Amino acid sequence: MNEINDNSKDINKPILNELSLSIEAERRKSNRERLAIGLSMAIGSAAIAGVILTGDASHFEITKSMPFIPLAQQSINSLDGYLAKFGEISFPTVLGGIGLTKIFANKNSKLDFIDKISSKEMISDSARKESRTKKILQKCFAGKIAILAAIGVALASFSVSVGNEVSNGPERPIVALMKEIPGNTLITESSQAQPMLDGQLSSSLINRIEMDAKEKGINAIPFTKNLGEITLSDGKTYNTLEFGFEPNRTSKIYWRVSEGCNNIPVYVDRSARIPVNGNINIDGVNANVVGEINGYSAIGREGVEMSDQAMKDCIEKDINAPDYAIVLDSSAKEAQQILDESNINHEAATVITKNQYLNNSLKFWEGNVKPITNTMALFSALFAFVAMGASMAGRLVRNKRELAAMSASGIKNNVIRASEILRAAKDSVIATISGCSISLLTPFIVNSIEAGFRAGIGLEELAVGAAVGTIGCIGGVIKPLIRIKKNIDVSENTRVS
Amino acid sequence: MENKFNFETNNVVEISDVRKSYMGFTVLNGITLGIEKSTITSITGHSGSGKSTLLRIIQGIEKPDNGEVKIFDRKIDYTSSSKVIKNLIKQNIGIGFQSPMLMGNHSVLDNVNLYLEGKSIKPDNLRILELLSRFGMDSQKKLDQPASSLSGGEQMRVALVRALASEPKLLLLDEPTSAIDSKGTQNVFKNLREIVDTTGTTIVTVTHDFDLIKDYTDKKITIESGELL
Ligand SMILES: Nc1ncnc2c1ncn2[C@@H]1O[C@H](COP(=O)(O)OP(=O)(O)OP(=O)(O)O)[C@@H](O)[C@H]1O
Ligand SMILES: [Mg+2]
Repeated sequence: MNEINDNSKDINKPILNELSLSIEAERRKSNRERLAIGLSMAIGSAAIAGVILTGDASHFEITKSMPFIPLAQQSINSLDGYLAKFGEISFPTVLGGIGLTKIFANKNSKLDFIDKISSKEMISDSARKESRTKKILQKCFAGKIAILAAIGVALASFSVSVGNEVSNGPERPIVALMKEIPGNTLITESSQAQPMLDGQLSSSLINRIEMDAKEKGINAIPFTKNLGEITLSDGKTYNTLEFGFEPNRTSKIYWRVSEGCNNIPVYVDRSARIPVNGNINIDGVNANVVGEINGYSAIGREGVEMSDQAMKDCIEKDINAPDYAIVLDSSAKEAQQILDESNINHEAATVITKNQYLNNSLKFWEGNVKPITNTMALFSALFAFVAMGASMAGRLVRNKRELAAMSASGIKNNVIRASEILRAAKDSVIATISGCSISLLTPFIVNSIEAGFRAGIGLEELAVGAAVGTIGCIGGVIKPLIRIKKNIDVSENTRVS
Repeated sequence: MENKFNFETNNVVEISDVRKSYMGFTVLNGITLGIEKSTITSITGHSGSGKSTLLRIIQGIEKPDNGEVKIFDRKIDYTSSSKVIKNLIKQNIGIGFQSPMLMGNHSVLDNVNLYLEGKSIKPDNLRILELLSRFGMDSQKKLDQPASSLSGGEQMRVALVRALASEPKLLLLDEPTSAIDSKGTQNVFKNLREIVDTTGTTIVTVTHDFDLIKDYTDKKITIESGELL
C-alpha cells in the first residue's frame, strides 16, 4: 500500500540521500545516452550534407531552365528543383539542430527543458505503459511518428519521381541505342529532330554524304527509325522503338524481312518480361526471344535488339528508300562542311549533336508532361502542408492548458516557442525518414504496373520529400506560435477545468 | 526606486480599490487589502464569490477593470505585455492553480524539474526530493510515474511542490488542498507554516475549509458580494 506520508517528522534523510543519488545516476545515464544520440545526429547531418554536396553536380543537370516557356509553366517546371534544393539544406540542418540541442542540453537547463518537453505529448494519451519503440522514439524524437506528415513526404517524393521518369525515361533507350553508333554529330532533317518526330533524308543525299565522309576518312553510319509493335503469343501488344543501322557497313534502307526468314532471333528488354525462348511477332514478322537486354525501354515502349548476323540473315534493304539520319564521327564543323558540299538539291537537312537530339526529346517530354506531374507534386505538397499544419496546430490546441500554466508560472513565451518548434522539427525528421522509406518502395509498385516504366527514388526525390516534411511540420507550427498570446489565452486556459 | 522591486518591504502585496466584472456581472467591487511579509493569508468566501478572481489578479493572470496592485512595492502593469510581472513571477513568485495543471505524460519529477529548467534554474535533486517527501510524495515508484496516473490529491501535492521548488518569496495558491482529506490538509498547512517560519516567504492561499487550517494562518479575508467582510 502506498500510504501518503503527511508527517514531516517522518522524513528519512538517509533514504532520501540514497534516492537522490540513484536519481542522479539515472540522470547521468540518460544524459550520456542523449549525448550519444545527439552526436550521432550531428555526425549524420554532416554526412548527409557531405553526400549532398558531392552529389550536387550530377543533380543539377536534371532541372534545366526552359526560357521559351511562359513564366508560370517555368516555375511549375522547376518547382521540384527548388524544393529539392531546399530539402537538401533543410534536412541536415534540422537533424543537426536537434543533435546540437541534445549535446548541449546536458549542460544547459533551458535546452534540457526544450528537449524534454518536446520529447512527448504533454497530456496523457490513454496508454499507460509505454512500448520500447515509443521510449526510443522519445529519446531521439518526439515520441511518435507523424503519420500524416510521413504520407505527405512520401506523396511528394513519389510524384517527383514519376515526373522525372515520365520526362527523362524516353531518353533512356535513345541513349542506349545512340551509344552503339560511333560519333557525336548527326545530320537530320530538322534541328528539332527527336524520336517522337518523323523526318527523312533522301537516299541520294545520304549517298553523297557517305562518299564525302569516306574521302575524308570519317566514319558515317546512316540509320532508320520506326515506331512499331510487338505482339506476344497471348495477343498482348507493346509499342516498340526500332532503330535500324549496320555498324560495320554503310547502307541505306527501309528494312524488309528476307524471303523465308520468319523466326528472327531477338533480344527484348527485360521489362517486357517475355521469357527467353518465347515466340513473338514484331511488325508482322515472327521472332524468337533468345535473350534479354536491359535499359532499352521507355514508358510503354520496349527496346528490341538483334545481332548483326540475324540482320544479315533475315533482313533486306531497299537501296532507294530514304534514311532517318546519319551519324558522323566528326566535329560539327566538319559535318557542316560535308553537308554543304553534298546537299546539291537543297533538301531540308541540318547538323546537330547527339546531345541536342537527346535534349530535344527531353524538352518535348518535359514540356508535355512535367507541368502536369509537377502540378500533381505541388498539390500533394499543398495537401501535406495543410494536413501537417493542421495537426501541428491541433497539438498546440490540445496542450494549451499545460502551455498556459507554464506561461503563467513565468516560463518565457520564447522558451515555449522553442520547445514547440523543436517538437515540430523532431516530427519533421521522423516524418521525412519514414515518408522517404515509404517512397523508396513506391517505384517497385508503379514499375511493376507499367511496362518499361522505371521510376526511381534518388537524392532529388528524397530531398523534395524532406522539403515537404520540413515546411509542413515546422511551417505548420510557426504560424500559431507567432501569435502565441492569442492562441494560448493564459487567462482562459488556467481557469478551473 | 519606482522601477525596482523591494523585496525587503513589509507590505508584500498592496491592493487598492480593485474592481472586476464579467459581462456586466460584478465579481469584485472595490477590494483594498494589504499582505504582510512572512505571513499566511487565507482568502475565503462561498463558491463563486470571486476568491480565484482576486488571486488571479495578484498572479498577473487576470487584469482588473479598476484599481491597482503593488507587489514588493511596485505597481503591476497589466498592459505592457506583462514582461515585468513575468520576470517577477519567474524568479520570485510561486503559482498554484485551482486545478493541478500537470503535464500528464511527464513523470512527477519532470513536472517539477522541467518548470525550474524552463526558468533557467538548475534543479537540486535532494531539495526537490525533500519537498516532495514533506508533502507526502516520497515513494520512488511514484516519482517515475506519469503524472496522469496519480490521484487528484497526489496531483495537487505535486503542483504545490512545483510552485515551491524555485524558493519563491511569494506563494499564491488556489485551494491547494481541495482534493485532500482533512488530516492531509492539516499536514500540508503545517508544512507550509514551517516553510514560512524558516524561510520568511509569504503565502496567500484561497481555501474552502478555513476551520481546518486556521491554526496555521495569520489572517483571514472573506469576500462577500464583491467586497471584503
Ligand atoms: N473568465 C470569466 N468569464 C466569465 N465569468 C467569469 C470568469 N472568471 C470568473 N467568472 C465568474 O466570476 C465569478 C467568481 O469566480 P471565481 O472563480 O473567482 O469564484 P471562486 O470564489 O473562486 O469560486 P470557487 O470557490 O468555486 O472556486 C463566478 O461567478 C464566475 O462565473
Ligand atoms: Mg476558485
